[in-house]
Amino acid sequence: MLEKLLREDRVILDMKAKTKEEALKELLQPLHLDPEKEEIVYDALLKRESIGSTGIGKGIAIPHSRSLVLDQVALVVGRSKQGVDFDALDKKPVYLFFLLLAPPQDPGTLYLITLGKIAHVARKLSRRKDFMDIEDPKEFVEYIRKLLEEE
Amino acid sequence: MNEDLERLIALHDIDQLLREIENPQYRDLGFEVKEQRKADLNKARQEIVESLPESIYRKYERLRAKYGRGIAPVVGGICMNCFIQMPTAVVGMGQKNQQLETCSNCGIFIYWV
Repeated sequence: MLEKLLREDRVILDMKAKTKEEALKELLQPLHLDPEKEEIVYDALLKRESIGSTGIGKGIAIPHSRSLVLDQVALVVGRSKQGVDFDALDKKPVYLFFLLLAPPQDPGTLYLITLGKIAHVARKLSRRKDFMDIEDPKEFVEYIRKLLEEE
Repeated sequence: MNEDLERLIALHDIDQLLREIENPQYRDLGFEVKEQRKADLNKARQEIVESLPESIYRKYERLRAKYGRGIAPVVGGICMNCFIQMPTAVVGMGQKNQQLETCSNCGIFIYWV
């Protein structure tokens, strides 16, 4: 599932955002939602963040939400070279983002399993630094796919 | 989009979030959930409830008690609550989501995705 969600057109290698709000908005851009839907999804993401940051520490965040306006599961991967203040658990800047979105009717386990896999890969990535040097989205996707294959 | 429909979507998304963070499988993933902040989320929910006409909110809650949700998406002309194809005349109708509609089969509020 996660392998299929990884798409090079949904990778941002040089995020411009400096704040949590800007980061969430920037991560939504590759999905090309119409403005009304985008605002609803953004609001759902903010509400999730309001009960606790999805910045899991060690420079990684996994913002996620379900929303009624979405018709499929989607993943966007973003990298920020300067880091984003995301109110992460360890209070350190976030350099790598995995945004996971799902419609409400998506079977609960599938969404949660994907979320779990992302958290697992994220923990692997937190022990590495070389992904910060990749400049090609295709190469970046391959890099993460290889990590998944190591399972 | 119809304003009440937009409010119902926001209400649905909050209800789903509140349900999800109680799910043990979600809890096992280790994401931060601050118990005291749930009160703020409930406050945001209450504000949406107060902005809705009472009859619409009461219907939403009745549907939620019956189906576990008060509003469902329609995808490809199919209601995702009862999985029945909407009547062709309705599917072909323009101006979707410009008014508050219900599924002609199960009666749930609908949002055309």
